[in-house]
Amino acid sequence: MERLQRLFEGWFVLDVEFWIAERKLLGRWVKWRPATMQEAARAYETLGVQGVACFVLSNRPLEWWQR
Amino acid sequence: MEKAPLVPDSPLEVRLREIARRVLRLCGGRSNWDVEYDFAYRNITGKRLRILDIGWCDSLLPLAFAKAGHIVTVYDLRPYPERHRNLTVIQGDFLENQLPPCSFDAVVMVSTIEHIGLGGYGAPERADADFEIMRQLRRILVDGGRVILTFPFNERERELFLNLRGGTRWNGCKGYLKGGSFWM
Repeated sequence: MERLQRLFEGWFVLDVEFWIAERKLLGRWVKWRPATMQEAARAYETLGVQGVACFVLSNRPLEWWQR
Repeated sequence: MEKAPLVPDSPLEVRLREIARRVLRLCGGRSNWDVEYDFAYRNITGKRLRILDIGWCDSLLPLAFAKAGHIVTVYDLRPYPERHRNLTVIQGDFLENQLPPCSFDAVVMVSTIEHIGLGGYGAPERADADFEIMRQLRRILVDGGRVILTFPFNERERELFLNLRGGTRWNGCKGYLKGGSFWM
């Protein structure tokens, strides 16, 4: 948490998504689904494969009509 | 730790992987690459944007952006084998970049930042190099520019090495969204 907070310091987060693996076929994860941050954080312990975090950052916040 | 050679996947390997990604998607499945690929696509909105792609020379994403009419620069320690009139390739360490200020509308870093500074791909080890990257991005982005950032996510921060190809930093941030606000 601390590292990411420091990494994003001064940036505006416009969008964030978390994804986790859902289905495995022949040893490969073939389906992923959107997840909560908590699910993604626990994915390695529960599924054996890490979750994925996707962020859109900007150096300027969106105006209300852009949201 | 043995240093990995600075050789990207061959264009054939990259294309086979791209075909597999598309076939999987046609069948209703998705790979983690597909998730990240798609996220980058969805969040690059606009025409003829100046896009900087850092560290993903093993993919066709920069080429796809170039074909879509954007002006793309690929910055990677390894050579990017693809060619297109809208594509410029800079091989080197991004931390040593000489890019002019405010020169890009968007930066794409797909599964890259977790490797930065850990000595993978022949790059020197530099503590907190990921923070330096973010400072550099602030310099080269125009006002209102975007950074598309994807990375593996875990509860705890830890380091591990993957197939000797590079280090990866799992940035865990449990509770980061606490209170529903990013900026508490």
